[in-house]
Amino acid sequence: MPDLKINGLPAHVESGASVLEAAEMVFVEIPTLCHLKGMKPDTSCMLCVVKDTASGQLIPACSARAVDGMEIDTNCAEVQSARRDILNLLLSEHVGDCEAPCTRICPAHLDIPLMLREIVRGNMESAAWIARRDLTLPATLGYICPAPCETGCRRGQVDKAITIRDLHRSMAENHEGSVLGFNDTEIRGLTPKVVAVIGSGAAGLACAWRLRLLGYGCTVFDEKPQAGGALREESVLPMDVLDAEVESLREAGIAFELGHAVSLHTVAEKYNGVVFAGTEFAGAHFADAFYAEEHKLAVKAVANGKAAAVALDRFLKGEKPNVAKPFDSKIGKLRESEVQELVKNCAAVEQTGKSAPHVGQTFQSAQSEAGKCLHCDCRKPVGCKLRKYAEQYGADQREFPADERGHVQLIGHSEAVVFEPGKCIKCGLCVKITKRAGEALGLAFVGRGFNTQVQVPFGESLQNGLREAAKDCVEACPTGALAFRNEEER
Amino acid sequence: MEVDRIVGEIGRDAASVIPILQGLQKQFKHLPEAALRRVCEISDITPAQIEGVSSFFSQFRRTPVGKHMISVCDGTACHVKGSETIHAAVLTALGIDGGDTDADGLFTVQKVACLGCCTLAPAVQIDSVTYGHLRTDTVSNMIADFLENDANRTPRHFEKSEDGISMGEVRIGLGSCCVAGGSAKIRDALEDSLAALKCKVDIKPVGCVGMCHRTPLLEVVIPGEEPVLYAKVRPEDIPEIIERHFWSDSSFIKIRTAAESWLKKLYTDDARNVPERYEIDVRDKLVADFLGRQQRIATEHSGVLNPSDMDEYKLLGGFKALKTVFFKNDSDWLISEIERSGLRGRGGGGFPTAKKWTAVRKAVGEKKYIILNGDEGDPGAFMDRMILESYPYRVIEGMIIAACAVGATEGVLYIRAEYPLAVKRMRQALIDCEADGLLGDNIFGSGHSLTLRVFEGAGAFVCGEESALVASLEGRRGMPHYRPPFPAEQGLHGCPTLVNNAETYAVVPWIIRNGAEAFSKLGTEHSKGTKVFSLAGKIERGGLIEVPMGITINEVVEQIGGGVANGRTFKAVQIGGPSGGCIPASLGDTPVDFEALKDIGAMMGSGGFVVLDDHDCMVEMAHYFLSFTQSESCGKCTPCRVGTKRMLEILTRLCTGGGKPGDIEKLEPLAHTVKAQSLCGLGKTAPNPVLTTIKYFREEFEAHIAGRCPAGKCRKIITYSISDDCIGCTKCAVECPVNAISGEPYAVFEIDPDLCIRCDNCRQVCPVDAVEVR
Repeated sequence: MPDLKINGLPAHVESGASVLEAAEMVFVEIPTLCHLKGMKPDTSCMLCVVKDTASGQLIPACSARAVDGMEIDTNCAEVQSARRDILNLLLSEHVGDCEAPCTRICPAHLDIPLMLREIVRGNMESAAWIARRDLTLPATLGYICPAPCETGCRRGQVDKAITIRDLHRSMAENHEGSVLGFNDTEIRGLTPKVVAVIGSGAAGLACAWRLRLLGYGCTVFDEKPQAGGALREESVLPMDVLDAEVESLREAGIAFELGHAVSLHTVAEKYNGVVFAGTEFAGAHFADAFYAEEHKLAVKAVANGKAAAVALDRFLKGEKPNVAKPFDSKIGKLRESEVQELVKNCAAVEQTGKSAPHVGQTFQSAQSEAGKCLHCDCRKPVGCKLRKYAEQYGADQREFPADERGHVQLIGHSEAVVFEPGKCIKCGLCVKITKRAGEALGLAFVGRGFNTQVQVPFGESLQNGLREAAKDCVEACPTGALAFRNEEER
Repeated sequence: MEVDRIVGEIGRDAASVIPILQGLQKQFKHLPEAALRRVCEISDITPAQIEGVSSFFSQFRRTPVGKHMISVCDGTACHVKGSETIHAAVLTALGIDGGDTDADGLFTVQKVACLGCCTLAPAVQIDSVTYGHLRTDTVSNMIADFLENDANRTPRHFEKSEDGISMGEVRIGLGSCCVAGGSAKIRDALEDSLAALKCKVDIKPVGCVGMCHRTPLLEVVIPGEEPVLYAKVRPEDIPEIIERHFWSDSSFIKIRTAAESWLKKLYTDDARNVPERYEIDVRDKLVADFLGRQQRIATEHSGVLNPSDMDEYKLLGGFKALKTVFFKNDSDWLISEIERSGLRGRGGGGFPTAKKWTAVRKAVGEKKYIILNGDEGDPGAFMDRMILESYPYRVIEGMIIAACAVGATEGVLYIRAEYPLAVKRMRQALIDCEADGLLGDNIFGSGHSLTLRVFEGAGAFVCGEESALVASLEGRRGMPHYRPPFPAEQGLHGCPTLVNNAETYAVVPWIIRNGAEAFSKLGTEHSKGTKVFSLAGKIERGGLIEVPMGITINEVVEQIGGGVANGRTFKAVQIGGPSGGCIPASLGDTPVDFEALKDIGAMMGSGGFVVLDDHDCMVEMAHYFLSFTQSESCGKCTPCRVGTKRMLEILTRLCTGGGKPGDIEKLEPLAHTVKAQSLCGLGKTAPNPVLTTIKYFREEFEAHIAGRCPAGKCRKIITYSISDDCIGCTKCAVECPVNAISGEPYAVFEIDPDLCIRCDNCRQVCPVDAVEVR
């Protein structure tokens, strides 16, 4: 029964227990990728390294046995840097986008692929909600946004980029009821805290909306009699569209105080926090005020408003500002053959014809347009442990650049499970799980070394390989390599 | 069905998968999917297992191959002697452009890690026939020769002289080097000559003499006379040699004596075309130097002992040590003898042998195993092969003794399938020992039982790592696991298992026979006894040598090896293969010692000793070794699987003109990461050749970043030209395989850089060093 110390904390474990198990006993978290409770450790990823201070060696916590008198450091700079190296190496061969290029390009970070898939599924209310949630003014932007997202759309490499802007406008215009009502679970209950947003342009409105979603009571101030700021000068924008969207924000519980100047004194007294959106009081800078710049590109202004809201939220909760963006693995430009591979995997392969679908398009044409989406985004953006730890350890995908990146491949076109070899870290969990489940074929490691791949024996289909253990494999897979085709994590 | 028969013969358990696959491949020349599926139907082997294992080991092929297999050796010694260009020439000669099999399906060409014929470098094996010292312009002759002989190959029936008194014996080296060097043909010629002359002479095959640089070797031993050793013998020389020594018809007997001195003179005369190829007497200085500093322990009775003659082994003291062990029947004493001898594992790591034995002995298990690790995969090393081929009984004796010490009752000799002769001899030796009661139940009433079997390794360098070796024995992919637990605690089938290298077992009987002190007297403070090395590369006299520990690198190169060949400059020596390092000539005074080598960034490894000269590019060497380890990485742990790949990409760029400033600064920390964080010894040592070359030859890396290869080796960034020193001898133009050289006799020749394939033939043949490489 060894006694050892983990980061100075005494741990007493059964003999034969691993260092990882000892650490769990004292609630010290050690990151793992290839480890699965109840399975013999494989010591493949080497992310779980810790330092044995007596020998000065880095040892894998999952496999190293806890030995009496051991002193383990799980967090020193050497361990951190070793883990970062491991992550950087894994990422150097990771062929996968955490986020789709369209979303990445959209300043407001609209979850475009998810919206498109909801359209394809016929969940128009849900699609409209996503557009509203992320863009604040999806209909308004549908008229005036230059749609940078569409330049990022990989479908453009095949035929034409998906008309994303028209789709979010159409969803918003045809499903107005979705502002509240549809998904109020995503709007948190009101906190006792109230905040003021000064300025009602795109940034101000987006800021207020985001704060509202985060549960704040929120008042928007503007000297002008109508909300909208510079949006009111947009010539192509029918003002009733803007009015309707402002109205729905009001319905969602945002108060508007328009048409009169605001006293700073009042604001400071009555509100827990203030955001100046495209406005500022000469010389007056509040220590606890936040600023959201308006921008001539409305969608950029929306992004600024959202960012200010998040910053204020963290401030009010006493959290440090979070400057780090979520980790985002990037493939870059796809090769012709790779795009074709993704096209084969599309929900709707048939083309919608030469003419771009019009706003107000029919249900079916919106569906077939959205169905062209190549699903560039990862199917496990939240559950992926590689992404989680890459973010935690500040990994850099470019640290060990590969001469040539691996091929984008998608296996299992018409099956419930899809396998993307480029995202596989060869941890072997799925191979072991199919073996444990007694699969007739299962999965096997094929080849050796860097070229090792997980495959179904004898080149059979994924479906044949995963008759019993599909769910277990998908759940155990630490990355997005194995995933259910049509499930959403978000 | 053939599959059913093979499975029936070998076994239906999961652990039989590798022998079954070997059986299938022998039958079908590749592994047809239908056969694999059938195996899964009739055995415990699962599709995932068979797919995983068959794709892991390089021996197995899933696609059909040509009728004959051409294996171009890419071991270190062959590599430095131009195996790349040989490979290309073979493909060209067969008209293969893409793929590996010719249009007629006659030949399939593959590169192999090492054939273990380093002194014949560059070497090529066609099926079981080995050709050595190839040049690009002799490749077609080799193929023609093979086809010609293949058509006429008939097994010979050798009749031993049954009656009459033997006039003496002729010993022929039958180690792989000698066989590859042509000793089989020599033997045929001998039999013919002896039959024609009606001589009563015994032909005795002997194991490796170690003088592999002079193969084939032949020694004439006549009772009462000094033995005479002939080197580089050709079949056509045989009648003369026989006549010289055994001119037997009674009427000529007098003449024989009278003619002897004259004949001797005749055959040593340089004017004749034959003699320059042979006639080195053991007493000659060269040979004396080669053998002089050596100390034979693992290779005791080298060149005398018939590898397949157990009686002779016994006559020369064989199995005496075992008798002592049985007589004392005291494993404490036995282990303490080994401890006092200071013996450390010869496989590379140098772990104290007695410590390992003690661990296995103390470990608790229902059964204990003993394994011989003969999976010598280092390119440029052939010690284990020689020991297994030449001293099979000694190895078995050592194993029985070790098994007694630790209490093992079952064992495996894990030998590379690339060493067919070693496999064959060990199998025969096991049968002999069983028949003699040396193996089996209750051996000689000692209470000890031991059964041994041979397992053929299927081609994975990583299986030299003991936990990977055990995995492959159990029918899994040869992937190591984290140690502890060491095999000594939990090895084969979870039981305590002793794993030692072939050389380690081979020295054990000597230690017992001569006493621990006799062994510990040799060597240095922490490295006792002797070490067997395969001396190869740019050396005058390569071969298998056994030297006392502590001898310096310079002594090995200069005294035993006779210095660097062809008058070039000694630049570095690569010790320890892909796990070792490149030691510059300036550190030539470093003693051969586990710690001393480690201190300078190399390691003993299993004993490859490859000499490099000033024409060898150190960046290219680093690339060569890393490309070996990278392709042999099992792919399990991240640092080795991905890290070695990224390192290799940088090195490849450097060697092909794509180097960038900052590459060294990227390469070094990455190498340290791989070294520090890999799971097993392969990954932990793979960066050594890179780190040592950066450490000792950094300026060459910098030159490559600037787009230059100072040694003129990296083909993508060099050009060949001929200077005004050219005397117009036409040699280069004749040797050029692509007709890139033109000129008038006695005028300065020119090389067309667009046609030139940079095979280096011209530079090698130029008598006045007029070929310049930039």
